[in-house]
Amino acid sequence: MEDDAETTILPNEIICSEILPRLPVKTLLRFRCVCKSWSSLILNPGFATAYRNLCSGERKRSHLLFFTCESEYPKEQRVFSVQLNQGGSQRRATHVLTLKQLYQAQSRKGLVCFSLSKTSSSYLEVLDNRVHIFNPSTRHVVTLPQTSRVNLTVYVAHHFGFSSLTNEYKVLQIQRYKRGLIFNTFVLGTSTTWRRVEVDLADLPFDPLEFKFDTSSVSTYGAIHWLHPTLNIIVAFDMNGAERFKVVPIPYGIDLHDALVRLDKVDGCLALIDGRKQQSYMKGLWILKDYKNHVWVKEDILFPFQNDIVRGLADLRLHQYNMKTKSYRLSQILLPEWRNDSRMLDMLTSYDEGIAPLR
Amino acid sequence: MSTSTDNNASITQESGPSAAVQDIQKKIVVRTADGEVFNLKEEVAMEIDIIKTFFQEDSISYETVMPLPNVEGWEMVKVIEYCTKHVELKHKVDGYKERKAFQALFVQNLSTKSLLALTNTANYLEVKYLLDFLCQAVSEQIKNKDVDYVRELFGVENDFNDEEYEQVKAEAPWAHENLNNDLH
Repeated sequence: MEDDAETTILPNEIICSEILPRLPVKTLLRFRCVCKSWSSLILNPGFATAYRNLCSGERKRSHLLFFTCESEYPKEQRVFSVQLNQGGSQRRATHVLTLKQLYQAQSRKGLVCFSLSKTSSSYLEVLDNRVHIFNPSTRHVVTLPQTSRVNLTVYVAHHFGFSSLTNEYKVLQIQRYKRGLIFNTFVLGTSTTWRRVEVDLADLPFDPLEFKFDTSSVSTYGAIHWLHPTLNIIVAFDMNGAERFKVVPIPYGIDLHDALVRLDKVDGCLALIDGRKQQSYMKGLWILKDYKNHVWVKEDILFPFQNDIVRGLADLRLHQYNMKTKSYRLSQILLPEWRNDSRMLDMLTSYDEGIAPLR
Repeated sequence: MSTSTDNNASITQESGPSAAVQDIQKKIVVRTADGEVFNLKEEVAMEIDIIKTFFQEDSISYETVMPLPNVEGWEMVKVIEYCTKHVELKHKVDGYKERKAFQALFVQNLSTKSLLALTNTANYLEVKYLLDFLCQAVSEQIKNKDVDYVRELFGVENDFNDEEYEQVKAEAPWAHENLNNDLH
């Protein structure tokens, strides 16, 4: 009968390609200590890719990243992570990182890029304005090298992207100074310094000197996308190989001057969210279903406020809406004991758990 | 054909095809390592790739009893149970909840060692979706376990010396703490 089963030795292949990639990252980091072959397998970039592929859809472990901040100077940013798609009415938040200044975060495929926010005191100064790439699941962080700032810098913007063609994470840096623009890129794991990208500014289908590259972007299909309200188009910078600008037309009838229209990503596709509908949670949605042929599809959906945190002194609550079951859920966030005096919480971004190495 | 269905067929010939279809449906016979013999419905048997391949050979007729020397009787029972449910749910439009409930019950009384044995069997028999499900179940059972438990479970030798072990552990000490404290 069952209980008399001798100790089964599962084939190594099953353990390595079917069982290990299904485990949470914390477990995998612990299991590195099992033996040498497991340790090197778990750190292997190929394993990270297999992990990403296996933990998709329903099996994604989505997390929310938020921070608390001291109100007095110096402003330290304490970053916490909380898991989203699990049952129960409580969520235990873990402290994963502390930053010495205020950063904004961009999340792509399990990694988070921290760049200085405009409200940070050293935004335009030379002192420590470096970019940090962080894996919240492994808590590993790398700091990208400094770049020299040009005189009379107007702004420096960083945009984080992922190229599925090459499985590479890239950061695009755009420096706007009085006379023009400088574009630099950094490829995680490959680059040692920032590399200047030669962009023929005269050759672009829009005037780059009139455009604000320090507005928020959406990264998908290996390109970074911005809304260009004046020309009513979407401007894209292709990070895959041919590093150049291109234009994505928007559906007829949409006016980007409307402040309620914004760019987002739904199911991996670019989406234009039109907030003009009557009810506050009902929004019109255009999805770019066919990226190559620029085919947009209109949908009227209930916009999922998946990551809505209610800030409060003694109340740390997370509002979630589930599109499948069409239900709202309220849960309590528990901060680690030493943070019982809850300050204001601010959202950073969300991410899916992953084990991508940073070097 | 069994005698009981013979009687039904003569009386209910005009009433719907279901009884007649059951009579015609072929059975495939397998014998497990412990000598037990199983009659499988053809549609269930075809879910098991190693059986499907065996009987696709021209020279093999359905009269042949296929030997499965690497499979125990109790394992075959479980495999048949899962595949039968899978076939049943194929025809249902929204079987999500039912599938989840069935899966929970399926592993409920299985020890981790039995789960491993069954995983091995699903791999040998080549039933991909059962293998996927069982591997997911194993990972759920071991995700909060410590290093010693896992070494013993999978029969893995520790080839670290003390210093090397401490070094790897030090790269993420938090991963070794609060193993049962997580809410998930």
